[in-house]
Amino acid sequence: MTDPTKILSLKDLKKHYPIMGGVLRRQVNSVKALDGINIDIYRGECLGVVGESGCGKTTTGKTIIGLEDATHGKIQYFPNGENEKTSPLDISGMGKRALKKSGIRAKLQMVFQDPTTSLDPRMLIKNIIAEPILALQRIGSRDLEARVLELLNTVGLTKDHYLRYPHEFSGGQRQRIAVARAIATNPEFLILDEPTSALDVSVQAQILNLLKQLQQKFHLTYLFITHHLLVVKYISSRLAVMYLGKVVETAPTEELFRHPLHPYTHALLSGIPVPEVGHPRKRIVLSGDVPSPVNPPAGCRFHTRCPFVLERCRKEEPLLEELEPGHSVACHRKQSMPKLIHEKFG
Amino acid sequence: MPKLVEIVDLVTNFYTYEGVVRALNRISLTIEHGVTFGLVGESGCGKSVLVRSLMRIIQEPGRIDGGRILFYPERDAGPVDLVQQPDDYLCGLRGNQISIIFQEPNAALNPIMSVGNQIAESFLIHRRKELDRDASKTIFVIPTRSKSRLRKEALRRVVSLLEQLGIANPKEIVHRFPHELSGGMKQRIVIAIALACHPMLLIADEATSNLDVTIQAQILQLLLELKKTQISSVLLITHDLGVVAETCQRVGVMYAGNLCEVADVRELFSDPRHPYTQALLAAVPKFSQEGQLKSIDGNVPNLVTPPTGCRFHPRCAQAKPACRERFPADTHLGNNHTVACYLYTDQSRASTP
Repeated sequence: MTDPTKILSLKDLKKHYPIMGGVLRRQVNSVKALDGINIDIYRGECLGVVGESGCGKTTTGKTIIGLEDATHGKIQYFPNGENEKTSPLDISGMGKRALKKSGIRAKLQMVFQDPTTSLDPRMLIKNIIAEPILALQRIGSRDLEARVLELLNTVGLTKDHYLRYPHEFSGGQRQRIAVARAIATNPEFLILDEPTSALDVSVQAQILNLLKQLQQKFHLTYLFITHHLLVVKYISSRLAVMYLGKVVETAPTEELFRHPLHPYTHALLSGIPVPEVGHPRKRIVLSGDVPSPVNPPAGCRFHTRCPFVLERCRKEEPLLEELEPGHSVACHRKQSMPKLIHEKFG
Repeated sequence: MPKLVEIVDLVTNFYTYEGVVRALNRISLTIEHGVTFGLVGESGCGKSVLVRSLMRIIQEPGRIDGGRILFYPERDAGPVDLVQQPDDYLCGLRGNQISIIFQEPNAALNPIMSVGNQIAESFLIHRRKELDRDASKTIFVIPTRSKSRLRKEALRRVVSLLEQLGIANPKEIVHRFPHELSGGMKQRIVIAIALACHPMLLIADEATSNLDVTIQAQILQLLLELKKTQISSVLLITHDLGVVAETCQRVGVMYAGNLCEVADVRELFSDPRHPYTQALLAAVPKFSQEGQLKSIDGNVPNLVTPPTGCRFHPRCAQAKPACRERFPADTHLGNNHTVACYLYTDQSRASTP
């Protein structure tokens, strides 16, 4: 990695949503949306988080930014310019006011999936973009207007759009506004939660290119959440694959696409429909559905669908371990997996 | 190959308060027997309106304002124009000879009916006589309660159909309700409803768009297997070019109510001719993506006031003055490759003496 300073480090992060039941409305069970996540995010990278729906991708993003309180674990933030030796701040326990006061709130921002629902339909564009600035700093009205216009310019909109409402824009333009709002406070770290999945193909490319440009221009760090593997391949430098509230594999993007080690990653990659002809690929079609996160399977969570399951997988949970530099995987049979896959699927 | 459906100059408009939405602008398209035909385009380009017109289930304020939909139910006999047919005929056709898998299985299934009964409906409507015959052989009940007798027989068929679709434990599943099933399972039930009467044409309207990658792979594999054994032709509607590349034989590309280009899959992906198809293929991230994605500037036009002439001309890099005036006619490039673009009209004139 060219720039190895960490910006965030998630330590055994858990988020359980309680299920209330019975006459007394007591907690009877819980949805284990995140069940022990360990990821380090480095400055300047774009970490892609992929997985199927319900695997906890979005919850990860929301918990980092403080929209959800973590049930357990730490979110360590390393402030600008300092290395790991200086004490990191644990932001998972911080209150709203403390976050705002310490300036961390301004540094972590988020872009949501669907721009039609994430923009207030009764607010003018200028107010939508000005809101985060006004919430976090004192600024004169003239400076504010200049700043908002500058932001509009940055995301490819013009002065004409300044006094309009969200419904007057197309999906792609709305997502540009959402991006402008997210970068309004000069953040260091942006969480992008499926920013292109509500958009059409031709517009998706516009937004992806815009995000790439902004990352270079403002030295941003991205956490890019998506289920679309080809999109994430285009934009991310490193990937984390999630399954049922756990990270099962992390690796640099190129490496992960070339040598996936976890059988789930392998199935995901072989399942993507590729818009190219003449490349017949061996496809691994998994049987069954994702189990419920209320009662996740014991042992390895993937064992119910894994073609290479052993007795050990049913009992003992594999840990995320680094096999090669930068490439970690949580699987008991990780050493022999490439050979196994080759033998079974050719 | 003999034709199964031939759409000629189909025009569908929606009469809204804001004006007339010209959703389909003289679409012509042929689907042959035994072909998987993919229809791609961005949202709002008229893909779904086209298949709804084909099924004649366009609802108010929409109306089919012109054109013909010729359906060839028997190979030797002449066609039936579906636009002219009365509702009785269409009721016998829908779900029987042509059936459709809708996009959202949650919306397509009735939440207060068990899935077994929902699939059985197809049999009870279209296969009453057969049911009656089979039921008299197998089930002994008091003759006066003939309705429940038929229903039992229909449910027996449902179980064997679900078995064929590879659903585990079908006897139990038929008594479940939609909310008790997972997304992939619900989509299989919708497929079972569509397949119940062995249709000649199966329309899959974004059948896998809301599913996860691993489930999508399961469903696509299932569709392709069924295609081999049970159904004649499949019309697959999707915005995912990857799905088309992997499953279809022929592809039609739609843009803003027009059909721009129709070709065999290999040819369309290796040698796209229409500027929109070219731009669309360049805008999708690929497995071997190198360098920047090329985005298409601008947005999909509003169909109340569509651009004059070729509807793609405001976003087209190679637009000529002629593109602004009249819509280009289809040009045949050989190899069953048709494109509606002025870039090729001269060329074809030169090549055909």
